[in-house]
Amino acid sequence: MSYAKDGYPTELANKVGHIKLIQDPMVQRLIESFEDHRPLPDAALPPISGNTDLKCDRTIAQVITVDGGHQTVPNIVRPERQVGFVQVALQMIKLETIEYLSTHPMADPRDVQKLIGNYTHHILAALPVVGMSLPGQTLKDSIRESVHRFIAHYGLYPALAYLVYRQWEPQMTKQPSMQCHLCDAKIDLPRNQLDFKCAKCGESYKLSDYLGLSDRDNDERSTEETVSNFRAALEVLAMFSLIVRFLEREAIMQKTLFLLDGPLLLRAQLSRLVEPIRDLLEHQHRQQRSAYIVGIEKNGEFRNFADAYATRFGSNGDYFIPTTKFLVESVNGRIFDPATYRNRVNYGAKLVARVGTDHVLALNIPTGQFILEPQSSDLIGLEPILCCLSQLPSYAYDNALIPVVLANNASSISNQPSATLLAQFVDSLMKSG
Amino acid sequence: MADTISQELENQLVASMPPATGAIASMAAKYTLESDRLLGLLLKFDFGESHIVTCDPWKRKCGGVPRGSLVLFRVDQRAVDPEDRTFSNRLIIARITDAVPTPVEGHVQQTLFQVHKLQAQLDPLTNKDLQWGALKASIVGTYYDEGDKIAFGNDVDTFFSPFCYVAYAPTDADLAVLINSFVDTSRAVEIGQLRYTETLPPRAIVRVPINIDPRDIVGDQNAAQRLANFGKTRFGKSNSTKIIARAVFESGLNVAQVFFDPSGEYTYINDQDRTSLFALFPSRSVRYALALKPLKHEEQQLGLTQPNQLAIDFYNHPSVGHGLIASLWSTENQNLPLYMRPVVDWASPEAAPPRAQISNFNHYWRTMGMWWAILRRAQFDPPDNLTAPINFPDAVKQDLVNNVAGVRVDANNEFDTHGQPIAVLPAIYQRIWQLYQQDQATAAAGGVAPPRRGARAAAGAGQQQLNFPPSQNTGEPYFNETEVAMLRVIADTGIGGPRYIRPFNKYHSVRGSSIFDEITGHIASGTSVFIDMSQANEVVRNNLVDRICRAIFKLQNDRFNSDTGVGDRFVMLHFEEAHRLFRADDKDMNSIYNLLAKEGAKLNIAMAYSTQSMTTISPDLIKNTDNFLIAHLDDDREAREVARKYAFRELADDVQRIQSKGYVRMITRSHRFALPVQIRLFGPDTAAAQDSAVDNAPAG
Repeated sequence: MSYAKDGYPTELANKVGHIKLIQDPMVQRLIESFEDHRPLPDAALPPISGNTDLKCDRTIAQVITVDGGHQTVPNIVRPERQVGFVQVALQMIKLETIEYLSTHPMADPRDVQKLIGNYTHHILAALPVVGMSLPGQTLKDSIRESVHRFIAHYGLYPALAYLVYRQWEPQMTKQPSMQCHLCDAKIDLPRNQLDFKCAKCGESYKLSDYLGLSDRDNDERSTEETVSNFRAALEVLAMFSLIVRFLEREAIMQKTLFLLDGPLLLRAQLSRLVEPIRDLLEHQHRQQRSAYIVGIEKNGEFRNFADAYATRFGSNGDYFIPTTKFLVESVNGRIFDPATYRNRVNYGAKLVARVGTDHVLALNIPTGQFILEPQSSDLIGLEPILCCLSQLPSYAYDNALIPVVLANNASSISNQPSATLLAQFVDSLMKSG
Repeated sequence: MADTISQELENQLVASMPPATGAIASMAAKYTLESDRLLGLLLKFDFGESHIVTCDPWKRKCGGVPRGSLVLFRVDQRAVDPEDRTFSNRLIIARITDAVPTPVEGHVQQTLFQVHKLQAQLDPLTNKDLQWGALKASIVGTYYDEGDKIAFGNDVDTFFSPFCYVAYAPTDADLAVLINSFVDTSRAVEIGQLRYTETLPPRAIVRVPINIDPRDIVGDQNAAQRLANFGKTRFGKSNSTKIIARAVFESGLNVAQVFFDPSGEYTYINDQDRTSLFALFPSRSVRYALALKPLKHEEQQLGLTQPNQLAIDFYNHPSVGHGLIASLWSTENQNLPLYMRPVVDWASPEAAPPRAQISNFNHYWRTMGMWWAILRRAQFDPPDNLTAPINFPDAVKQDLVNNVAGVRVDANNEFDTHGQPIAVLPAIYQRIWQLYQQDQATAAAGGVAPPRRGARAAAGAGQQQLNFPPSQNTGEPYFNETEVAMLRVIADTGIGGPRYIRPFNKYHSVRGSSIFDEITGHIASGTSVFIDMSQANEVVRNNLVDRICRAIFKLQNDRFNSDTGVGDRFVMLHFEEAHRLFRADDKDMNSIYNLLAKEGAKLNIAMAYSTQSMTTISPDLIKNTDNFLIAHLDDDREAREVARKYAFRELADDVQRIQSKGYVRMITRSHRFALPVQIRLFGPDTAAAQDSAVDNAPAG
């Protein structure tokens, strides 16, 4: 499917190419020997886990949504020079604003923009990916330096330090550590320090290096995955910057829902933050203080499962909390072994919930510590969260929520014309430099 | 943060610039992005048209955006460099022509389809998204300041990218200034209000007065103007004529207006108008009527007197006189006897053929002589020295000389075929009737068939005895049925033929020939003339209009060729059913209407002509017309004809669609583009009439 450029049409695939594949006996025998891992038929779907009265708890009055987008440019035309752009948006919307708009459908867009746009914060960043670096530095060091600068610039270090150094604990119960990328020596991070060195080789580090964003990169080339992970780090740090700041201010926390567009998940080295987050939320819960966090999965296997499961829901407020075994086997189609299963990347349990007549959501809600068979009581703030979400359905897209639509508008970067313009932007800067 | 600071600094920079002083610049300064008049932002902009992205709340704030709305585009000062900000002192005016899809129309449709399918209660944010749409507008022109005057160009000189422009709905006050900016304020007359839609909005309607300069309608010296008033019958053409004519009356211009009033509504106070043009300006007008009617009570109260009798010389203008009798028959007679029917139905020829066409000449005068004899018997006074050059077979002429006293003879003592006096015509035709009766008897006794229409000439001895033998070529009888009927009316004392004609004597005057001089005399003194033709049939009307127009043409032509020239003395003719006068296929250069169309402007003869048929009216006349009022035309061909005029190219569809009385598409010399206007109602109280014109304009 190449050649689709410079005015040429897209190369057409052979429309009868499937015939030989279907008729091949070797292929037929192999497929017959496969085990059937298809999702369960409707009749075999497990029963719902419970129901929430969506009108009973309306303590949450505002939603802060975190969403990000990234784009690596140029992507095709100039492969020798690539920059990754990241845009993360935090957007707060009050439920009373939605109520106002509902009762004032002819509100002037300029006024609406003031109501909504006033509470939008952007974090904008860029990383070198291929073919460029900071003066006198390797690509890998350039990425480390860039990550440090942006985290410092946007004031995200306090949140990072709070999580990494477990600052809610008078005495740190778990020592954070990392490997020196020069000498492979283990480095125990000195508590509350933003700068430290490898005791063995003396290499200098920033706390941002703990995120390990460039650990898999070599000195010449990074990948889009690094940019994607940087975006995920910025999203979670932006969200926890607010959570950490108001952690003990119940007046704020009890009426605020933090909504992440995507699963509550940190991959690769970022997962170093998952355990502190779980512990922090567990601690907060034990202190009987609120921390309402929810992740919305808009695509992927669990979202597909939610669509299939939707038929089991009889009424609004119904929800289903799958066990880890069910998720692994029936949703992901993998083998579940409780003896060996470890989950170091998720900081929320998954559930499917009907929050409106036409809205079935695939959600992640923190449980504190990881639980193999979570119950509704384990999900922190399940009831107020579902009540809140039931007030936010949007019909802009399938199963959309108003705050997610708004945040997506504020954070997404389209391939055209945004990416093209960003590419020209990079070119012009490089030339002028 | 930096953006906010930059924006504030930009605002400060704009505020620090010296304020523009021109009328347009001052007006433009009020239209900012914060304005309540914000309609939208531009998606596309070129020399001809633009696309505006807008939303329901903005349209609502602007009072709705019906098709045909006039909107303004202004350069957003923040979108251009400081040196280009003078462009924002101009206002581009455009006309909304249609809705167009937005670039995300497909996406919106998908969402909407899904919402409808689910019958979902729409969330407020999606609702806001679905409120956006796009409108297409065609560029009308650009208003700008030229010194201390407002200038206008029917185009745009240059343009930036669409991003630089913002669309606004002008306020009523500003729109009134813009639209009327070229109407001379010293003579401006309000003739109606801007009206975008036939359907009246539920909330406040547009109140933009539309003014005209009567000078535009009348014209300048040696360049008189024309006003075309098109529209289907009963869609307010007459009302428009009255409003325009009244404006001319009140203008102070030296104009004598002439109204050929087919229904009497301009001449007499009527229930519809509760006044009349004549009643409003009696001291500057004179009125004529073919048939006088009792003076209405309202007219008596105003001190008005009976119109002047429009007396006709029935002898010299037989077609007018006969037409008048035919059209007024029932007003004077209870019945129409069978023997009179051929006389009344007679199509009186307009003029005598030349003597060289001997057969036609003789036939014409044979019949005309009978008609004159009837008039004489009905006691219509003949003009002095009028004679009829009648002719008959030799034997008959000799018989007449021998038997009829008073017959004029020539030098040879023979019947004088060059002219017989009117006084002797009845006696001549009475004798002719006797001879004709003899023919009938001879034919019956001798076996000779009496002459019958269409029969070939009978051979044989009997034919030689007839006084009036049939035509040897065609076999046609000597007298046709009409002539036989006329002879009988003249001669048969057993019937009371002339008695039926006698009542019409009051319309006759031997000085009828000078009535046209009398009318031109009034016009020459600047007095307007109303001619009530409501009692006349089409033949009479056309004949009278033709003759009066010729007299006026002569008056102005004489003035034009005089030492003082025609000067500023104008005549304005008001024609109705103009397609019957200014015919598209009329190549006759003797036609007074062709003369008026081609030469009238030079002679200070202005014209306001009304018709429901643009397609059959002279194209040359339309080409030389600058002022147009177009009401409802329910015909594709007519609508296409409208669209051929550049100013109306986008309005042809509306002309077919709208059906309210007095709701016209209008352009005059002082208006730079066509406007949808509700013409005010003509009446005694103009202010009240104006309001009710828009609020109560009936559909259909």
